[in-house]
Amino acid sequence: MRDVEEVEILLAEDSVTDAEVTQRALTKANIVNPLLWVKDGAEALDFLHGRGRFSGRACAKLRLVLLDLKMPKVDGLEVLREIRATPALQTLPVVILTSSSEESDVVRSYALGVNSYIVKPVESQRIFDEVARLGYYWLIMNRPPS
Amino acid sequence: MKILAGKLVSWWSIEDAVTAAFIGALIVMCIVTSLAWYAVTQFLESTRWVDHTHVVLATLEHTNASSEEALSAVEEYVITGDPTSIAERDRAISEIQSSLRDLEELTADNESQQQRLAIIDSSVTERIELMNVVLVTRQTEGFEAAQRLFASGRPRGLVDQFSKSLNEMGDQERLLLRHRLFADEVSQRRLLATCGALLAIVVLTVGLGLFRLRRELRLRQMLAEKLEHKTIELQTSNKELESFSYSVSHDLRSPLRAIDSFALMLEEDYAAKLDEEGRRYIKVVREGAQKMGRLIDDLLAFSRLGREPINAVSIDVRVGAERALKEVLVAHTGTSPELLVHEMPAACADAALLHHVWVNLIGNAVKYSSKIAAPRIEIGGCIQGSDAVYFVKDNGAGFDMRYAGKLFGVFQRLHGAEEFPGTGVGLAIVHRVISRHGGRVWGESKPDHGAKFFFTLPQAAFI
Repeated sequence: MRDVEEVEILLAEDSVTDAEVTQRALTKANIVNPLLWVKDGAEALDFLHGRGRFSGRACAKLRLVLLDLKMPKVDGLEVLREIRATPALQTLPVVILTSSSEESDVVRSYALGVNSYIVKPVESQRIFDEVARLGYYWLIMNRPPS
Repeated sequence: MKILAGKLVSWWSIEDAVTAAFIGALIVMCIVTSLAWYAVTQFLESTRWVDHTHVVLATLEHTNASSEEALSAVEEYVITGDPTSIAERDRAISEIQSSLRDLEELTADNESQQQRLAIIDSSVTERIELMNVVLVTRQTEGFEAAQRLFASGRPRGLVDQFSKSLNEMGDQERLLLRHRLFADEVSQRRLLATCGALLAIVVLTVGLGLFRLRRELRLRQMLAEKLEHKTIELQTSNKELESFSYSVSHDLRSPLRAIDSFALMLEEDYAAKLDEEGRRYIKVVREGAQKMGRLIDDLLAFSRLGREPINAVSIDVRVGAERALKEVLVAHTGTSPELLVHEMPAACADAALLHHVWVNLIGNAVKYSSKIAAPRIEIGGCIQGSDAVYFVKDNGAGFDMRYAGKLFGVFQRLHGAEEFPGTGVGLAIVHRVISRHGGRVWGESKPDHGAKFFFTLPQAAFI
């Protein structure tokens, strides 16, 4: 595992292949900011709150959370709800990266205060393009509150 | 009774039965009311007859009494010679005469009574004359002669004759009354019987109507319950469908993405280590995965369009058609077709759903005419009866009308994917959206002579 304190991108994704594809897409786009991959929402919350196996570790350098919606234990919407309910994390940019194009999911995500909602395309070339663009936008173009 | 009623009611619709029962009851009520009115009038008439008879009898009595009075006044004069007795007699006589006039008037309509009255009249005149003779005799020949004449009994005999006639008149009058009252009673009985029968008919009709109404209400209640049950079932299956399509959209896409992405990664990282055939295999894998992705997307769109609620309002159809046309042409890479957009009637439709119809029909027109030298697309519409009919026409590949029945089925295609790409969901979406609007859709074509697709929508004015 990378040094947890240095993590800038949190990727919550239960599918091993999807996580690998996302990480490869970012690397190929030369976005090499330290990334932590967790397999479910519970782990994501552990990291964000510095508890469980992340106990005592701060996530001070975190700049972007990439959330899948359907995950075991705690789903993406629940993680999003808790991020927005925690004062220290309220302004953290959160992007939903999911297979679901269901209108209800989109509406609920925005109602909970998501910053962006991206539907992962099936076609691989488009996934690589879109993840690269997403990385550029949130980590280079976008200016978060300091 | 119940079977008979059941048979009777099955001939009529519920509306007919209730209306008939109501109108029938109303008519019978009117008849009963007028009959009752007639009965009351007749009763009043009989009361008048009773009164009349009593008046006649009283007058007869009075005449008799006055006659007795006149006789005793004369007797008194014969004994006392007191002139006040003469005045007494004269008053009694005038009473008799006025009573007789009354009687004449009262029995004016009765021939036999008039005849009796005439007899009474003449006997009264005779009596007055006899009284005058007695009076004169008293004055000229004295008490003895007058007393003899009076006691001879002639005046008394006349009185008997007179009383007999009066009694006869009374009897006659009573008999008449009895006949009249009897006749009235008979007719009143008949009236009562008629009213009773009519009321029985009303009760029967209203009862039948009520029976039918109750049966109908029970039936409707049952249907409503059944409908509610079905609605709940439908809602459940709709929910299941929704969660099904949700998992389709999520769970099926994920492995597909893995196939395509890892095939791409294989191509990127190991292309150099593979020969031509190996690279072709990777290409086939990726194309297959991508095609399945498109099929899933289209199928989900098709399923969603069937579940989304329709918000039908009056819309300018031409504006929607032009927007879809622009969208299709932006994505089109081949020869730009010649466009002809006619005026179109407004319609009552859901603009967002109708957009899918236009995009698919215009998209097909552009696609299937893309291989000819001068593609030409025409869009228009007109009013036909209560419907608005729209069309999209091209001069492209067309299709064989023998397979027209397959046009609107899901995944049904009349051209190979190598010839024209597509998933075979577009026209199924068109069909579904138009059907949900209560419209029809059909196509006309000949191979290589273009195709013309029509669809109908409810007219805007018919909302």
